[in-house]
Amino acid sequence: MLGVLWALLVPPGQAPDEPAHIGYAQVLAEDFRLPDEATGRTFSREQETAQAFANVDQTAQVLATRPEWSELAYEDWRRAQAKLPDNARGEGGHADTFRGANPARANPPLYYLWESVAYHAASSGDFFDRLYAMRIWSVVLLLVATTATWLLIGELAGPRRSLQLAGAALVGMQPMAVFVSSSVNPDAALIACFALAFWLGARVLRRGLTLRDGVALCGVTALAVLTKGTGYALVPGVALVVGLSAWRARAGRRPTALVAGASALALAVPVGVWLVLARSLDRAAVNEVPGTGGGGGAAAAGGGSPPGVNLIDYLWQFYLPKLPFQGNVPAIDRLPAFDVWIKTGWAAFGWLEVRFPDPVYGVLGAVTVLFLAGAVALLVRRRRSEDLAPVAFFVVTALALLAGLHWIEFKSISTEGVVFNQGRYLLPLLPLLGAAAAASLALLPTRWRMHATGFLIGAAFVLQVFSLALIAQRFYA
Amino acid sequence: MRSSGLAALVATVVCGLIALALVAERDDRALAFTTGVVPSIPAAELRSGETVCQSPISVPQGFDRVSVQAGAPGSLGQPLEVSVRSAEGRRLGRGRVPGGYFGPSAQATTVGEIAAGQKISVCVRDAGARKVALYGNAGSAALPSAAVQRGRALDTDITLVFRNREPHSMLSLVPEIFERASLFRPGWVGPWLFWALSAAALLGVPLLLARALTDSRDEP
Repeated sequence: MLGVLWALLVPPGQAPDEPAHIGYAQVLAEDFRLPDEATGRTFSREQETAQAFANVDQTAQVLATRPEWSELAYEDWRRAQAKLPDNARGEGGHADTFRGANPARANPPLYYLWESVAYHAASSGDFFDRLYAMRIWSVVLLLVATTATWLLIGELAGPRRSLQLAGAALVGMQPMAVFVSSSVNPDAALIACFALAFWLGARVLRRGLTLRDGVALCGVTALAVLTKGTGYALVPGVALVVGLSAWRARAGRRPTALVAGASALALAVPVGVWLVLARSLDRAAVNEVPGTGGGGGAAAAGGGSPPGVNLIDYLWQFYLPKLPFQGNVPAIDRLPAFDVWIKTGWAAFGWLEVRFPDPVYGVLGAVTVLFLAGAVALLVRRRRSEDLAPVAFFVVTALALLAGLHWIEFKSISTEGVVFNQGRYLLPLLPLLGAAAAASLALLPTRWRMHATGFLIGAAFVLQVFSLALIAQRFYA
Repeated sequence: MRSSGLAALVATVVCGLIALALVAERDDRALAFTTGVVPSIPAAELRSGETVCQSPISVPQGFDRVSVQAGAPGSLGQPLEVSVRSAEGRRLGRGRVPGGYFGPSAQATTVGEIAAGQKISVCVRDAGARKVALYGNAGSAALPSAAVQRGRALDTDITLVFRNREPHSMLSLVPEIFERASLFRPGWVGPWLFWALSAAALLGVPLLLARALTDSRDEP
């Protein structure tokens, strides 16, 4: 219900990179091809026309401007659209001299294939019929993430429904997650894939490796990889889960090697097919890392940092105040860890320009730290050996994602002098925050726990409503 | 035990919604609409006595004030005459911005009541002795509107902001907000749907959460 309201209230194109994702989805749905760098139109004339009349470009990132809300202008658009030729839908996906190639072109196609279902379902309608059908269809992925978080907490804490409800509600009503999932954006699918992987990984570690669970876990990891480059962050953790489970079961009767091998194939085959396909199409298989000269994950020779900028300085200054003897890292603001991970990870809408007053983020940052500290405190208090493996899985996955994002940003600053990271890139870890919230509640005495659960769920809902009001104020008042 | 959680949920939601209503009631808004043009470049340079017009502009909301982004390179801002004309060229209102401002900055003037539901042109004349620049953006910024100077279309659009002297609270603007949010949407979306979804969200979601909390019985 909230997701549909978000999907309809946010103006077209007023979500991060949404026009690029719409363009990708349209090319795939209309012409069954991927965006490329050949000379031609970046976006279809239909999309260009709709965006121009709805004032998408001028509104993006600029608080002073508003989307078009004139009925007369809407009628103008309808007339302009009626004059477009029949081929005005599927002609985008190339590179024009003004916009260049579609910036989303390096994404693997899985999320856009998902969106093409809604696109085709609404294909008899106009551009906005199809756009909003895709948005609403994307909200389904948030439901998947919310359900998977509920299952994850059940796997970790046992059937403690109030804790499961609290953690799942946090995921299902986290403002940035709902905003991203109710726009056309592959991050929606990534959050769902990570949530499923966390649940399945915890299940395998708790119950042992079965063919069904192993294939499901590795299959979901493959889906993440085929959604976005950052999906690879799941691979080390999932390898740990499968390897550890196989090692534990080595003395048992099960054909462990066979199960582990079949699980690995569920990851390797789809990813391998995509890699081969991408190579045959002469395109990057993952998003390009700046300064590497291509779509690979490793730095190209000679693509190092300019004098005075090194990785340690960058990482230190991302999380801590700069020390006097450290070199200056260009483009890094004061404490990006807070400004990026907390502010734009919790609530930064539109093209990140729509934000709450600063004190709100102080509270949200404190809540985040409180939940993480609560999870650590619970682990220390329980001191159960069976907790170690799931925690190792979560930590390895979180570190892999962070390492990847920081590496990309470091290369981006080194070569282009621009920052890369946004808080939404950490949203795949949101199910872990939901689990941490549940762990924090579990620490409380029984008589306080239900109070706190009710308060947490209520507060998440209130934050949702304030976020929607913020959107209405920014774009329509 | 379960009722204590329910009480906390209800109290939090009720307090939150009251807080939102208070904030929305105190948040005054005077914006009628804009041409939606980011003021990032000098879009028209006017010499003394020269005029630039931006048209056609659709008027979705009545207004009585017009604001332009103006500045005079190297000197204080020049006085400006702003006139609003109908599509047929009939003058609907006019106003004057006094000179002496620092620019580029937003300069507003009262032009009289202009009704909604029509297409207009807005003309700005340099009423001073020196040059003045009006800011805006590339010509594709406000399709199908265009800026015209000395009888020919410029490659730029001028930033224009239309306001009302009497501000309205965010809360009182909710019907207009739903009207505005219904444009450039699927055909089945109208203000009624936003009313229905808002009611469902404000009442239905807390009820569902309360039900889920009540049903969340932990195993011993």
